[in-house]
Amino acid sequence: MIQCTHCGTKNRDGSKYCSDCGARLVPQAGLVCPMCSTPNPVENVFCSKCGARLVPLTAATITDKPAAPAPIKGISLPSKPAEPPAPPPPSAKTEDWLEQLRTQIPDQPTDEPSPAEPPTHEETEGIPDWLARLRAAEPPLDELSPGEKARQAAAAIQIGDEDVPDWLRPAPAETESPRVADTARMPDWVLEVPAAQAAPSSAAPTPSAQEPDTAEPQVPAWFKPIEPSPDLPPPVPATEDEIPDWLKALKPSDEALRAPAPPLPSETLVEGIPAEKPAWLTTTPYTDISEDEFLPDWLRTPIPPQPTPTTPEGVAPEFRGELPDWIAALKPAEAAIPHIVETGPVETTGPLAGLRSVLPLAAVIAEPHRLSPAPDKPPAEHARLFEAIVAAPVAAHPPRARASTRGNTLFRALVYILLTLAIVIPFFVPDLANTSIRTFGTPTADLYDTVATLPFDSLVVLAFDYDPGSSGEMEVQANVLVRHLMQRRTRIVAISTLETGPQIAQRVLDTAARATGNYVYGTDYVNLGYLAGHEAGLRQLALAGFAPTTIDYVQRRPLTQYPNLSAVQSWRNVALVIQLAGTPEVLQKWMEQVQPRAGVKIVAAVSAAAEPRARAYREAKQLQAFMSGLMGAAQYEILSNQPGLAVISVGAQSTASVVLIALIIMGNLFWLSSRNRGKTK
Amino acid sequence: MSDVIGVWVGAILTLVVFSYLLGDTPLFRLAQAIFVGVAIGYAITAAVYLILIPKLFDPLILDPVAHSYLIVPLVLGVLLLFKVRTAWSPLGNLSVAFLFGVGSALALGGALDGTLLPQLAATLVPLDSLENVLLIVGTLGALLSFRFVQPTTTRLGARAVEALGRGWGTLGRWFVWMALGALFANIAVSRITILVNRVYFLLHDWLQVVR
Repeated sequence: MIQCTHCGTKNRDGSKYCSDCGARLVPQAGLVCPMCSTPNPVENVFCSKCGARLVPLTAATITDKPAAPAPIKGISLPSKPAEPPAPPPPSAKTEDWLEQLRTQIPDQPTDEPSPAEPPTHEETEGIPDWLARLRAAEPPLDELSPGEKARQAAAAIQIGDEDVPDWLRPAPAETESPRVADTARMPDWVLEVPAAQAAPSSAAPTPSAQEPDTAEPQVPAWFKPIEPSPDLPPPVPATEDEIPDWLKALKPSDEALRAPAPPLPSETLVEGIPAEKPAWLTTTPYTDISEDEFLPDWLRTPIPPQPTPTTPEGVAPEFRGELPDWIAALKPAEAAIPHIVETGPVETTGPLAGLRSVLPLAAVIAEPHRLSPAPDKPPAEHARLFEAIVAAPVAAHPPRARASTRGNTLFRALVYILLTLAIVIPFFVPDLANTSIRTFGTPTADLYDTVATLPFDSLVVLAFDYDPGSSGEMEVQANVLVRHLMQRRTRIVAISTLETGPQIAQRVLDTAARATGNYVYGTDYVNLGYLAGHEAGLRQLALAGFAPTTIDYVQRRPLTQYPNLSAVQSWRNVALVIQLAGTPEVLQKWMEQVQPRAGVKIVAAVSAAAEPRARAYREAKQLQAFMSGLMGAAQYEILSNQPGLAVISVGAQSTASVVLIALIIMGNLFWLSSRNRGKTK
Repeated sequence: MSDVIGVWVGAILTLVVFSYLLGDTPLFRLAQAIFVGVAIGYAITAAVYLILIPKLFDPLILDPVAHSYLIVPLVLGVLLLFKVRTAWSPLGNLSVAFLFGVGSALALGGALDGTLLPQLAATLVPLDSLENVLLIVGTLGALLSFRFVQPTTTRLGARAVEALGRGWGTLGRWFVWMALGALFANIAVSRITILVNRVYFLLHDWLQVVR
């Protein structure tokens, strides 16, 4: 079924004209969307893809356009008149006389001879006289107004009435009989046509013949204008004041008088008047009547004056009187145009003149967008919703989280208790943690051998490079080392690269001296205090040795005033350097700044944290020997046969280490089991 | 008497620090502030009495001509004080630049001479024992584990070498993990030792319940 786009009547497939209104039916090829170029079925009023309107809202005459101008694509509307459509191909229903006329015109390149060149004899040969007179009498069409063109066309047709075939003449009962002279020039086939079968005369009122002309005798009597009665006085034109207001309101505007262009039989008339018609009338396919030239004139009904379209929202004021509604409906909403459109150019021609960036722009093409509808909810409603969400009470913590926190607290308390017991119990029950301390083949044994082989009264530099934070681990090593050095009757020079080192050194030395009983400060040992400068101080110490002006930490006297110890100014007099390093960094400083340059033998007692680095230096032969941590101190106590705090504490340390390892293993197993439970769930 | 007071103060502060096991208590914050304050005060005192007075001011006062070279560190030190105020801080840039420049140069040179080259030479050992083999394999594997390049050729030999390097790097990554585990274990042992020392202090010196 084909639906008439004019009246909506459904017609059978294959119909070319509407069975109800006679309008040309749109073929099933469909309608091309002017917005997205999507082909749509003819039944569609809106595009099935983008929703744009396909059928005009106020289209008065929708005609078939097999060769219509290119459809409007995208959001771009043509801003200049489209090319005139090609003439329709000859139809099987073309009148015979027109077919004959067509065959008699040899190789006519175009249907429009130049107005400046009158038609030649060969061109006019075979053309009916009325058509020849029409062609000869008309001035250049471009110079005429549409009304004059219409009047001239109608007059030419009326004047050539004698050349009109009989079937085009009015019925004999209603019109005058043709003159003999005219009938003599008629073809025989025209004369043979019965008068009763004649079609309505071409003199029927046409849209262009709104004024009385020479065709008046052929107009039916009832259609003739009312003749004024001779008894009545001649009409006097009413003045402006005498016209009532309601009549003034009915007076059509000048624009309304100009708007309904009369349908003319020639296509050239339509093309010749673009200057006086709105541009959209020359481009829209629905107002082009050139395709209806094969229709009889009596079927050509004048296009009723278009009412002033209601101005939709968004149409520029200057176009409210020109844009039809269906174009206005296609105009994109300003809110839907992306922001980049605001920066585009303003249209200067065409129906979209005055609008900004409606025509395709590179930016619009590069950034696809969709015509989104305006938000249906005002921002205030969103704000109220946001405030309500914020003001809503926060949900309480889930019970599972509280249980987890409580479990973590209990687990932590259990770890603290177990670790405390593992440390405390070995102090009360030493046999419970009877740790076997192996000394043979350990680095500590090498250190002990190094110290034990020092010559009597040799000079030893002892560096106390640990702070109070690590003194709990380092002091046991320092104590056992100093006691052993004093047993060997070595001269001790203490130094530190940390600010807190001298105090610690003095305490350790004094304690060991008191324990030994015959060690005197200034004679057997001295504390040179803090060595400033970090790497720079150590580099200077390695290169130049102890300066003679070095002030000791206790008596504040220069090194030269301690004759028994002033030999430390040269590294050649130093038998051994023992570094007590609490951190790997201070050990590295000595290894990097002093060892390569001083050419002195260096051993170290380091914390357990610094043991890996000390072991690396030991493997590289940069460090002669070392001991580390509480276990190293215990080994040294055993080797030096002076068991003390290290041996007592190592049992507690071993027990705590075992407990810690057990807790780590249990924690990992618990974690693995909980993860597997989570996977199975 | 002073020893008794010292033991009590030390014991109380030790317990206060242990209170962190129960949470970030105000007592722990008080002990933390005390330790920080004492450390800073001690550092300032040590800097003045161990460095500035005996090694800078006394020589300049007693014999300024002989120790005139000390004016340079004195000026640099004074310029460093201008770092206190932002508007004056550019005046201390010279001192900071001197400190950082000298420190960086010494650290780089010392690392090259004292750590990198000796450690590299220590790995050049004959493969005559399992220990040496593991040393070579682990060291090269650890270096290959930090190789993040993709093969740029499709030749079979090159791809085989690439696969070997990748597998060796994976093995070296395991060596790296074992080394990091050993480091962590040593740190844990070190902290346990300190804890043992503190517990022994409480039991022996403060409570005197342990012989």
